[in-house]
Amino acid sequence: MDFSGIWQYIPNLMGGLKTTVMLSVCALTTSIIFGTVLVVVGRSRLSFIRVLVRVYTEIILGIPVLVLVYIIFFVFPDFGIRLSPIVAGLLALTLYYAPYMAEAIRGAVNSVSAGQIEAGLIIGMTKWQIGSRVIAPQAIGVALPTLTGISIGLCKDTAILSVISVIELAFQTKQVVSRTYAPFETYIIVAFMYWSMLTLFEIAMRKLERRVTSYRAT
Amino acid sequence: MKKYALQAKNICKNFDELEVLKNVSFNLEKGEVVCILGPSGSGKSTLLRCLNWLSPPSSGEVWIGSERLGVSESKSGVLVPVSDAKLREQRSNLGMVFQSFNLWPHRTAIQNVIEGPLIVQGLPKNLAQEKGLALLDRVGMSDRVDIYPVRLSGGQQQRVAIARALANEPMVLLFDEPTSALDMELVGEVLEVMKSLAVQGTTMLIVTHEVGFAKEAADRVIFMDEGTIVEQGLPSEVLVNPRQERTKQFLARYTQ
Repeated sequence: MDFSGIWQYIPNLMGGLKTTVMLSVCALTTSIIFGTVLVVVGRSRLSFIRVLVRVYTEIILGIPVLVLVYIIFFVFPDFGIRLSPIVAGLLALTLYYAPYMAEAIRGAVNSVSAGQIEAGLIIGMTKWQIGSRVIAPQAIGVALPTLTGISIGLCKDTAILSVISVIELAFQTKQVVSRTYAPFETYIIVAFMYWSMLTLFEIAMRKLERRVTSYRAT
Repeated sequence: MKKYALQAKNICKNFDELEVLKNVSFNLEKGEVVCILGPSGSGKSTLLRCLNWLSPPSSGEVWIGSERLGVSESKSGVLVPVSDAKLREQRSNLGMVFQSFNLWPHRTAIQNVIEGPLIVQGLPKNLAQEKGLALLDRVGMSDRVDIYPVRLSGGQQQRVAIARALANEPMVLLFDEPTSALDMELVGEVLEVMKSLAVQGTTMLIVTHEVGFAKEAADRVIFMDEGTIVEQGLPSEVLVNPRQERTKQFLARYTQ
């Protein structure tokens, strides 16, 4: 193993890692927001909206994220929607991961007992107040472990965006390999970078989970 | 005409084919304590859920003070459901204590109590806090103010729930089998709190299986079976010398 040729490319890899982190943070935020929207809209009184959410979910669950990325980047332009690689990539990850996020959030929301919601209704809280003050604070703690798992999947899938030339870590890796002819060493370094990023993320999420569920400690 | 705190007029409630309540009517005077007794499945809890509109009756009227709950007459004279905001305002005149306490586990004892004053009534934090402390003191929980429900016994949780129900200063307090989920040795402390509220003149409607408590604390007892009121009157009449056969049978089972 010879790492000597690679050191000079570390800044390139770090730059790629930075983009990967940025993509991950953005896609996580938007997919959790859109996932929450799916949960709320999925409880709509209008049945056609509920059906729409279901159909969308079913479609997404049935296609690989790579295919979705290609569709958005290569097929959308035929319909006049031309997106930059980064925007197309973020959109694909958001659309793909939102239903998974929604599933985790829905389960957590349903874990809050009906009695607690009635207790809120009885003292005169609005639906919004019950959602934000009774359901959400508890649902977050219940959903976090599952959301963390899904989020890690999402972060790793940012690598797929290299196929539409988003200059993130996997894309940079290929560049560096083509210049150094040291794929083995390069990929070891890159694997370590991904691993560190996700391990830090996981530790942070576990801390957060302990914090938001501290009320349960006996 | 008498001023009633709560009136139920011809309440019927069906779940599909099943008739749970059949023409239930009664009045609750201000300051009165009324216990509703009856076998399981007689519609007692459903009645309470109709009275607070958590599960609106299929037909019949509920009046809180001089206002009809849940529906109002539109300009053309048709009865329509009131707006959500109106319903919230009306409901805040009713306090409710649940069988399973239903405290919010992510809020401390006092946070549970002052949620209503703070969020619904918009009381400033310091005033709400003062009110919460006073209420917790009233139910004998002033030494558990900042404790989360998970660390309270069932009896303590129910006392906090009573303080929470009092926080909106409701005209009527509804109790849905408040001691049924409690271990035997914890029932007493909750009944004590309820007795003290009765003495202080709180208007209460209590669904309970505690015949002894009803005898001691109730001004009036309603006995229900199969969705109807079988008989009602003074505890000394209904619970000691019941006229109806069904009441006799029930009491024989519960007072052995």
